[in-house]
Amino acid sequence: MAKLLGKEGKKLTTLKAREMNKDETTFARHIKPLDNLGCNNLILDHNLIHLPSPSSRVSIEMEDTSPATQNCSASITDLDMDALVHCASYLNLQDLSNMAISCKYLQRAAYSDSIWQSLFRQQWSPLVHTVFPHTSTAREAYLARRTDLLQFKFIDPVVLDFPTEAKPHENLHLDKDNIIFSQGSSIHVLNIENFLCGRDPYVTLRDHTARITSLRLIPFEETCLYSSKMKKNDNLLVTSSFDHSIRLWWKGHCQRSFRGHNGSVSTLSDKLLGDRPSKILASGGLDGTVRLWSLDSSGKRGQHALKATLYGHEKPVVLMSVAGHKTSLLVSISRNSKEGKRGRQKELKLAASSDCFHFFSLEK
Amino acid sequence: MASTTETKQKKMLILKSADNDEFEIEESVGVQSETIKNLVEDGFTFVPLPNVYTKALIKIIDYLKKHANKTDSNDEEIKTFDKDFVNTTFDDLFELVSAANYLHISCLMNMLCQTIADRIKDKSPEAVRKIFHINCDYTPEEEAKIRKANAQAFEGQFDESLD
Repeated sequence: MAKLLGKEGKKLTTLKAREMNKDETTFARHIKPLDNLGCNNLILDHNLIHLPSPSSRVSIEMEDTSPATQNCSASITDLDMDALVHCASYLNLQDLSNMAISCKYLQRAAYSDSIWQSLFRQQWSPLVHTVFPHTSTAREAYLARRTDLLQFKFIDPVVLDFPTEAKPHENLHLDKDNIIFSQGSSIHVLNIENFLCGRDPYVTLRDHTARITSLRLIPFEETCLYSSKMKKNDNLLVTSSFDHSIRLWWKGHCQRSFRGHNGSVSTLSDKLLGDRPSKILASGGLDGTVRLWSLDSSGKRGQHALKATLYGHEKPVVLMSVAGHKTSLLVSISRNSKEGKRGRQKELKLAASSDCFHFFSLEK
Repeated sequence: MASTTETKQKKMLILKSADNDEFEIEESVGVQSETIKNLVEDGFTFVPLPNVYTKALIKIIDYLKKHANKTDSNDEEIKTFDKDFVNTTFDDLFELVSAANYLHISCLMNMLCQTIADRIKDKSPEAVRKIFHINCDYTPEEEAKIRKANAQAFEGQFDESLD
């Protein structure tokens, strides 16, 4: 907005000019020729005036009626409390504290219950009771709990009793609200929230036909299967079984099945191989082989997913691990305690074909 | 009702600012504001906005127009626009926050509040006061008390600079 100050006798008149787009035709009615205003002296207020560009027009009108625009020095303390609380909701504990110390009005925003309730929910499991005693504010309750935790006072372990089948449990995982474990050939997913709400908490996945040997959770984001449609924190569930298959699960269903081991699949690597987003999964079998599978092979039956078979162990492979410092290194151990170390020295894209694998044996 | 010769024309709304300026915008642009949307659903085509001044309204209309034409291809362009949009004085920011709050434009509100919050982040109370030209209204005793209350478990260095 530009201001024109015109001196007309003793009366000082403030004019304002607006640069506007062609299509804002409603302004047309305000346009008055400058010389109609009868100004003797026209002063440009600072350098605020915008010269009209060829594609725009300038409208000028008398502004005696609206004192509001002259008072434009807004302060943070003039902000609506709701808006200020909204701003404060982007701050962490430390910043909220500093905000509260600066002045009383900001303190009211920084201490508001809604902010501390949401901090509470972000920080702690939904199992923790968020009903605060009447005597304290949400902030006091949050800080009291925080202090307790810093002093290792674990005052409220949540104990829940779940009925399960009488078979032995194997491969236990906690994935957000879900407790995942296997029993024989079945995978059980137990949803804590459903349990608390009185709904049936169990989902049982029964696609495997023999005992499940290994169950891994892999963040979707680290895999090549990740797409923007998925939620960020979702995990991919991978299982291996005595039924010779490896299965990939998400959205509550078996989405892929890899077959190729000549016998039971005894173990899975704890992570995917190669740089993110990774697509190689390693498995070990009772036949002593380590096999590498490509996750991005199309088709539900996982045809052509098997990219390489590594021979080295004579006995069943029992454990495997991908190196933390370098995801192209895989170590495996077999039942006869001989150790084989397999290293990949080329890029993953090359390594996807078996020709590029280098095999190092540490066996003596 | 639109006359027969104008059936193809887009539905228009007139917004009137607190300083009595009128702006004509397409209905599809205006309804990004929940407040305007509710009025449109009640059949209004003339929307007086007694809490929004012309200066802020012009900017907000720019914003709404830009965001109404959001497609996959102009994502970068809109990001640049948004960045420029919030790169302004506190006076403007606060006025825009009040306007966006009144108009219930949540994406704009989030962006503006995040911008203000970013200026508070990692700053000492003194720096916050200086940045926002706040007069401390605590008595020295009150200030000492609230500092003590907030000191629990908060150790760390704050940024005293005013950037």
